Amino acid sequence: MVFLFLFYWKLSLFPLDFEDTINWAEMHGTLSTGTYLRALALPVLTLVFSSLWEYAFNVRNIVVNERSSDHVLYDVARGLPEGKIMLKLLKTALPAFLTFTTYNFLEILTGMMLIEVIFNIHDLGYLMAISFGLTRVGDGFGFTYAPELLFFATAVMMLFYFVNAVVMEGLYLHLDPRSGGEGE
Amino acid sequence: MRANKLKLGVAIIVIYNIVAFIAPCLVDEEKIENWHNGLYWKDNPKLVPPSWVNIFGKSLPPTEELAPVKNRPGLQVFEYDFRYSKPPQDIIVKFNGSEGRPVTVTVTTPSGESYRFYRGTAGEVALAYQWKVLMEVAEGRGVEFRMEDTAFRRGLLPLFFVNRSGEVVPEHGIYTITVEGALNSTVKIVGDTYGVLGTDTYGRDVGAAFLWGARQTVVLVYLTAVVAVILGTIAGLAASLGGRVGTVVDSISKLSTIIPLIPFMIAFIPLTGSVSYRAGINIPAWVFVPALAFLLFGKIARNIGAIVRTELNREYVAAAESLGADRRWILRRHILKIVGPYLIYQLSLFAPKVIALISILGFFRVAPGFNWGTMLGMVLSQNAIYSMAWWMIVPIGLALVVFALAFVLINRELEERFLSGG
Repeated sequence: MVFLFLFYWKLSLFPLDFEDTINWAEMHGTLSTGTYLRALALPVLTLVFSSLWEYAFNVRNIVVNERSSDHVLYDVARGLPEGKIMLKLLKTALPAFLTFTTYNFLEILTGMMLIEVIFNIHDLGYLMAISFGLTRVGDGFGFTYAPELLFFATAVMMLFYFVNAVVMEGLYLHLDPRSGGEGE
Repeated sequence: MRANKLKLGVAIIVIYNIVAFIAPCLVDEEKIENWHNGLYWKDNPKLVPPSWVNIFGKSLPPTEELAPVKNRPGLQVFEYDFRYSKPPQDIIVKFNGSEGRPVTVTVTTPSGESYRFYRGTAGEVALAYQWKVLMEVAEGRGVEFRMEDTAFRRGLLPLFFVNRSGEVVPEHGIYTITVEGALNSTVKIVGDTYGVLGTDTYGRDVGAAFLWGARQTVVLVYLTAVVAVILGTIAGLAASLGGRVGTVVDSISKLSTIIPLIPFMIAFIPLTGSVSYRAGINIPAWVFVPALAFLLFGKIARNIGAIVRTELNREYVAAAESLGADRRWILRRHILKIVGPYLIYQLSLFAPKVIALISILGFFRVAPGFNWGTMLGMVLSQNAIYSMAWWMIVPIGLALVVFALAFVLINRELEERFLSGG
């Protein structure tokens, strides 16, 4: 809401409707990579900032827990600079953070789809949104349902999820000191 | 500070509960029944902000019904105190004539000029569409007027504005609307603001929907969160018992965590729901709540399972088992006492998620019933974001955020207590 208000309503800095911006640029022969970047600025900013806090809070919790562990106290006693200790803490927190990211990937995808619907980006979220709708039937209303669109979008969503899970698990094995992968 | 967080969270939830309980009583149920009936809302201004914007420096005429200052069969007189920077969009006069006798509607300006807007038997007249009269009024008052001005909400400009030394300015003061020849009549000023939360593109009362939707939103959030926590607790306990049942329950919990929620719920609507004659999506709560809870309980089961497994590895459990205690007895007698307070924590953690989910379902236009999720669906279907109709977005967004924030505050407090062992 803050981004919409600031960048679209007040400053008119970024466009709101992705498809409309691209189509307009195409019609006027001004379509370039810059057009796509400008049209994507507001959706990306919104998605990043709406998810950022949960991740920041999670890293903070892991770091706070780890800070009281013996090896960190030893580093403090040795007089290591704060920056170096923080770097070690972040490195230690990374495997746990990757696990968190894997489990939350579906939520990120859902967030992405919502952003697509709000900013009119014709992608997976759009397919999902148009797979179900209300339409006039006689005097009243009924629904239209296109299961093939829904199932296609879901299949792609699940594919992303499993690819992400595999990559994250691989990284986890590499980074977790207990697995012996680190430093190989 | 810690106590303040808890108190604030609980206070917000109590306020929401009270509002949810009494709010629907403040709304005219007829408005909700006719929500999708375009004819019902035809006399309302379309897409106008709430009346209270005038407090913040605007000077827009509110939508109001005028009370007659003189009321007898054959003559009704209404007075309208105009003191705004824009003219009202329209003035709608409705009347009951007597035995085909023509009814006359006349408007007198504060400067004493009188204009006969209508003479006939139709039963209803919208002054902004009386173009012939408005052309004459415009000419007499030196104001430019075109028929299309009515479409741009400026149809009554010639009546409420006047040309003074080349400048068109509002003529403030009391306007008298006289209805002659009718048994009774009503006058509605179709202004540029409406009610507590304005109107949407169909002229529907957003405030009425907001208040009416509060109860269902709150009930849905509580029910779903409670059912999810109960399911998650049972699954978490059962999975930690091991054996065939434990394995099956654990597998179902894992399945719950990887089912994509939004596609599942979209597919769920045509399978279990129906669309009402008035375009509302109907799914019985006893179907919708367990379905949503099923998609959420997996994570709770994992959290509970982790706690139970940690406890089962403690010495007192080994001691109890060596004395012949059954695992189920240990779970019931000891572990449940530890898990109990944690359930409230889980509830406070998942309630905001349910709130977010109901909003997301609304954005995908699959929110069932009539709740704040349904209203968020309206925001998209009516392009409220693009038309900068903030009154359709900000109040509902704020209401959902504050409700979720209350649970987050309680959650943070409980988390701090768990961490400090307090």
